[in-house]
This record gives sequence, C-alpha cells and structure tokens, in this order.
Amino acid sequence: MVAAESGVQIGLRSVSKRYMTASGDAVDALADIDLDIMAGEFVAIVGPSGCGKSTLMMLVSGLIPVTTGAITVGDAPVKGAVSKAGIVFQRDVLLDWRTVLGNVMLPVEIKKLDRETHLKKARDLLRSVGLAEFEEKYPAELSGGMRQRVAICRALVQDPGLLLMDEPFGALDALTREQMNLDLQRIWLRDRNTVMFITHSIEEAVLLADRVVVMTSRPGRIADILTVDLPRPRGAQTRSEKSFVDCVERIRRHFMALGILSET
Amino acid sequence: MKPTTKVVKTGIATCLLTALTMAGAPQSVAYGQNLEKLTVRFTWKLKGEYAPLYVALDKGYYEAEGLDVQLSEGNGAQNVLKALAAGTESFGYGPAVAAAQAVSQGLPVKVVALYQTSAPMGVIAFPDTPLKNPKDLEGKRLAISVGETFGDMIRPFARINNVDLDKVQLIQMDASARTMQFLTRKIDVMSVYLSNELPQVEKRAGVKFNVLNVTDFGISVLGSSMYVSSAFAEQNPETVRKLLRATAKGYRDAMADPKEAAKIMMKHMLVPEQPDVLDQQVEATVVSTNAPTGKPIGWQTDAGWQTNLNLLKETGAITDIKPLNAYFTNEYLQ
Amino acid sequence: MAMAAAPAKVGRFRTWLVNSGPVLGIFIVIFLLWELCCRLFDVPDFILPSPLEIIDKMTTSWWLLLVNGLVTAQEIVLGFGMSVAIGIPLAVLVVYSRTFERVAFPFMVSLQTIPKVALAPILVMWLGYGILPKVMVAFLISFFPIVIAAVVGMRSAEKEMIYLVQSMGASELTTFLKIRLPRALPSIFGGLKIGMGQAVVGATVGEFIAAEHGLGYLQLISQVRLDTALLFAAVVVLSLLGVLLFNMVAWAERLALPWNRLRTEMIE
Repeated sequence: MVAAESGVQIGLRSVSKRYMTASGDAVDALADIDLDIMAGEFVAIVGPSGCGKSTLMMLVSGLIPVTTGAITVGDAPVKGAVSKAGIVFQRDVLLDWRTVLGNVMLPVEIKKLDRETHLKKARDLLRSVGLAEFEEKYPAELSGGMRQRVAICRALVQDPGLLLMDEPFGALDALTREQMNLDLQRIWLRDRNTVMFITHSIEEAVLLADRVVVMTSRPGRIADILTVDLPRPRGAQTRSEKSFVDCVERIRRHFMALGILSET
Repeated sequence: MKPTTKVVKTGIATCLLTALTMAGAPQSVAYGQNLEKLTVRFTWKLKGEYAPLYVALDKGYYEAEGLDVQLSEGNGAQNVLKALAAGTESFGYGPAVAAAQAVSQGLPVKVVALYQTSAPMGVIAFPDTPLKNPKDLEGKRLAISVGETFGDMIRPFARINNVDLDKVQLIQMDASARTMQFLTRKIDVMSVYLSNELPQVEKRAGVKFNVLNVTDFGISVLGSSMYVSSAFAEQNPETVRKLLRATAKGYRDAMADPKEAAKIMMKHMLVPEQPDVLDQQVEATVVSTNAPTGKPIGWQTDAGWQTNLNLLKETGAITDIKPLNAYFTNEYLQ
Repeated sequence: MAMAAAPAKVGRFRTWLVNSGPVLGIFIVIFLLWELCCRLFDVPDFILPSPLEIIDKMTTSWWLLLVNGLVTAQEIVLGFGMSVAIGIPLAVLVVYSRTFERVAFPFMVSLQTIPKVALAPILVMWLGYGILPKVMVAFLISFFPIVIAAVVGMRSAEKEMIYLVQSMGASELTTFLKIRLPRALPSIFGGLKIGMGQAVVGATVGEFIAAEHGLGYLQLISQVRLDTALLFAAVVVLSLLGVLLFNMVAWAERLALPWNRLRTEMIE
C-alpha cells in the first residue's frame, strides 16, 4: 500500500466529458482539461455551479469514464475505480445501521485489509478529530459536523494516496465549517496525502490550498491556476492577515473578470 | 453485518415457533393400519341430520368394512360437487337437488344412495302469524336466498296451490342473514329444513312456531343423499358398496335409538349444539329416512327422480334432462 | 445515574399508565355503555351479546378458542412466511433486472387486484379442504406489499453511497449485502407489518370459504348455531391474535434495527 506520507500525483491530459441527455442532446460538461497535481499537494477547485468541478472529481476517481483524453493517478492510467482514492461527498453518507467505528472500518472490510492495524488507525483517526467517545454510537446520534468528520476518517483509514473531497463542508453551518477547515488542515499536514478539494468558497480554498484552480462553466474549463504562497500552518488568525485578503481579492477579481461575479 | 445476522436469527426463531404451533394444532385422530382411507364431505356444517354416519363411525361399522372414514364439514353443495368432479374428494353427502343440477351441467358425479325421498322443507312463522295453508303467504314478507331450495320452488308451489305471487313480498337476502331477520320480525315467514333449522330457531326464540309443511302441499324435492365422483365409483366399486353398507347400518341404529345417536354425534362435535336441539334434529331426521321395505336403505326409484327432474326443469334450475342413469344408480346398494 | 431499583420500576409503571391510560379508559367507557344498553333495552343475546356475556363465553370456551386460535395462527404464519420467502427474492430480481421487472410487475399487480374472496373457492377446488388453501390465500394477499416495500427499500440507497463502495472496489454482491439490503430493512419491515395484517385477513377469508377449524370457522359455525356470543368471542380473539403477530414483527424490527429504535411503533 502506498505510504501515507507521500501522496500520489495526478495528471489530466486533454480530458473532456460529454453527456447525452434523455432528450438526445449532447451536453459538454468539461472540455480540454489539462492539469498536473503533484504528490502531497493540496489543490482547491473553485467555480460556479455547473462548471463541472464535481464531474472532474468523479473522472479522477475513475467512477465515470472520460469521453476523450487520459487521466493518470500515481503513474497508472485510470481504468475504473481508483482504489487509492478516499472520497468525501457533501452528504456524509454514513451507514445508519453501523456504529461510528463500524462506518470508519467499512473500507477495511470491503478491501479486506488487515483488521488489527487498521482498527488501531481507525481509533487514532477518531481520537484525532475528537470523536473517541463516540465509537459505539450510531450516526443518527451525531451532529452534522461530527458525521462529516467520521466520513473523513473513513476516507483516511485505508491509507489513500489521494483524497477527493466534493464540497465536504457545504452542508454545515459557518462556525462548524471554520472549525472543520482547521481540523482538515491538521490531519493533512500529518499525512500529506494529495488532496483535490472542491468548494464554492474562495476563502476556504485560499485557507486550505497550495494552489487554486479557477473554473468557468458551459463547458467547464480551467480559466486559471493561482498559487497560494501563505505559510503553514494557517490558523484562525490567518483570515485577517493582509496576504490572505490580497489572495482572496485576486481570485475574486478573476471571477469578476470572467463575469461570474458582478457589482451590478 | 450485525443487523443482517439478527434478522436471520429472528427468522430462524420464527420458523421454530411455526413448527411448535404446527405441533400444537389438532390433527385427525384415526390412523388405521391397512384400512382404506377416505373422506365423506358433508355439504354444510355439522347438524343432527348427519348423526347416522357418526353412529356408523363410532360403532366401528366403517372399520369393520376395512374403511378408515373421516367425516368432514364442507362449504356448500356446489363446492363439494365441484371438488368431487375435480377428484380432490371422493364422497359427498348433501341435498340430491344440488347433484341433479350438477349432473345437468355436465359434472361427472352420481348419486349412489338417497336417504330422504323428500326433503323436509317447511315454512315457519311466529305464533301470531296465521300459517295453515299456502294462501296464508299472501300479504306476508318472505325471505329468499340464492341456492335455497324453497326459493327455487316458489313458482311451482304457488301454481299448485293457487297462491297469487304478486301478493307475496319476496325479499332477497343472504342465507346467513335470514334467521336474524326472521327473529327480529323484519320478515314474516321463512323457509327452513324441518330437521335442522327449526329446532335451532325455536330454541333461540323460545317459542313454538306455526309450521307449514311444504311436502304436504305438492312440492317434494329429493332430500339428503350420498354422492360420488363417477370416476372414483368406476375404479372402486367395492369401496362404494362397503361405505353404503356401513352407513346403512348406522341409519338402522339411529332409527332404533335416536337419543343414543344424538349422544354419539355430540361427542364428535368440535363446537357442540345444544343437546335438546340436537335431539330434535336427529328425531326429525330418522323419521324421514328412506327405508323402503324389502329394499336397502337409500334405494332410489326412477319415478321419484323423474318427478324431481321435471320440477327442476319447470323452475329453470336445470335446462335439460339427461337419461336417468346419468343422475343416479342403485348398483352399489346391492 | 444512581437510582434505587424500586423508584425506577414505579417510574416505568407510571409512564406506561400515562401512555396507555387514555386508551384503556376509552375501552372501559365503551364497555360500560354497551353493557348498560344491553340491559336497558333488553337486547336478545343472539342479536347483540353484552360484554359480560362475551367474557363469560370466552372463559368457558377458552380451550376451544385457544385451539382454533392456534390453527388460524399457523395458517397466518405459514402464509406470511411464504410471502417473505418468495417476495424478497422476487424483489431482488425486480431491482436487478429491468426485463424481469417489466414482465413480472403486471402479473403481480393483477394478482393483487383480484379479490381473494373470489379466488378462494377456486383454490379450495384445486387444493382440497386442508390447510393449504388458507395458507395460499394468506400468501396471495400479503405478498404484494412486501415485494413493493422491498423494491422501494433496495432502490433507496443514495447514489453517493453506491459510488463510495464502488470506489472501494466492492463487487455487485458486496454492494448488495453491505449497502442495499441493510438500507432496505426499515422499508422491508414496514412492508412486513402491512403484510402481516393482510395475512390475518387472508387466513380468515380462507376459513370462511372452507374450513373445519380456526377462528374464521368458529365465526361461521357460531352463526349457524345462532351463538352470537361465540361469534364475538372469536372476533375478539382474532383481533388479539392480529395484534400479537403485528407486535412480533415490530419486536423483530427493534432487534434487527437497534439504530432505528426511536421510530418503531408498537401497540402496547
């Protein structure tokens, strides 16, 4: 299994995705995507609704096929589901009938990994997100933020080289969201997986990412990729620092130039 | 994993429970060795009319003939006859009228013994309602039901006795509702089998009713009989003979001592009837048994059948009359 | 939570009383009114027996009611068991095969719409007078809700859940066993509860058509004997049986779905 410290690199070459709708029309979700993500890099993808960012993530995961182009994950071409990928969706999708620990152990069971070592890892992960006492509870007894943390632990327990997150904090309230950002950063700094993080929030992207990919829609294209030079670890205070604000402003102006945000 | 295991465990527990209830349910008692097993399916629920067969069973007459007989209740003559035709039952016991209709419709069944040459039909009314002759029906409310014999016969009855049917209020209702309606005086007159319902209803109401005996007034329908599927009879003639012989013995004993017959029957009833009612039912049954001198009990005549079939044709209960030997045979009585 | 045992027991009794009290109260009121009406208006017992007469009949005929109750219970449980044993696999086929769904569904729906009262005499003719026709009627009447509930339940897994396990490399079978089936259980149990009620009706209808034992049979014969108290007694026992069986399903649900505890209903 790939060591957690070094994530995998991702390469996308001329990737496009076309859907046929029920009425027979063709919809170009993504066109001409070229992107390289380095091992251990945290890349955020920001863009308006319908710009295909979720589709992009699904293509990288291997769960849906590309129409044209090629994707490689860790030097191997993507043909079908990528087992190195841990996925976190916006909905936590925990299994109601399993305990918290049971949920975290799900990938271990399905992939038939060694139970002993991964049980320890699962417990460690839960402890690191502050859910050690909730191991035997059922998801219905947890709050939204807690559930999403469990989902993240579930993604991490299998030592993925790659973490794919599709607006994981979108359903949470603003305060919990801020906390989760810091928690995620802390976990990532420890394991240094490659992360592809999709979000609507420019602030969130800048806080978490090494690079921010700006996308436009219809068809989804990469408009720009901006590097975030802020030092780590970034904390709660970082949001008020000038360098942070400048970075966010730069990206926001980008969206305004693209016509996605406007003053009028 | 855990919830699924739990469901499986619960499923197994349920199966065990089922097995237990199956063990607890009543099973048929007689398990004779080397006896030929067969069932006589009555057309209705247990009543005093069936006592003679219970006598034969209780006194071992069937067993003596090498038969392991089970006497069982049925759910209406039509259904029993259909079961005979389909081969799921071997013998049926009930009104010959129903068999006549079945044969006319082409069902391969036959009547092999006739235990009442005349079904003891009557019409009853509360004491305050005069009912001495058929004309008294005029101006009264009479209940009729589907498949009820008197209701089928109402037109010939009226014709023979000069009753103006237009003056009789005929009310259609379900068979099981009639008794209640009668007892609550919603209808004035009701037809009954004198050997069965009359004692029951009188006991319930606590009064002696006015009775008009239909047979006294020109309507005579063949009464209870033993039917058999034609195919079964052809393949097992000896069995039929044995059954009828033993049954006849039961009848003789019942005729000789009706009270004993009633006691015997009571033993075999899952839901007992009131003893005095049962006594009356058995009495009325044995009195009307078809036991012509010099002939076996249940002996049938061409004349009797012809009259009956003519009557049925007249009322429209059957459309055509087949040759008589399609309906009945006495060959198993010899 | 240090509480002495006695106060805890009293507390639970009190809670039970508060919950069930109003229902019991209503029953008692109906009881008394009924008894009063019967006496005041001198209603003959073959038309409407008074509650006391019914209770008296129940106590004197308790063995009869018990034995016949077991017979009917057996028919119900067997018919219901058949529905589950056939219905769930059928549902799996419907979910996993479009063709099967297109072929099987019209059959199931038309079977459901045929009144079982009409079907029962035909079944008796084919299957004889034993236990089989009653079990068949109970089966036919209870299997549709179970199939539908299972299909709905199995289809209810969110697509993200399926994506997740697929990304973990789960086979179709694993996805079914670990995701679709457990996900379907609450819905299935809902269907089971409905199906159980239907099976009770089915067995009784079967007995009305042709039986020599059972609570439905008792109802028939009590009409023939004009023993209305027995009729009512049989009805009471039948409804108690129905409640008992329903509760058994609810209890099984509580066992199988401990995480669903707050949502299961039980008739106390």
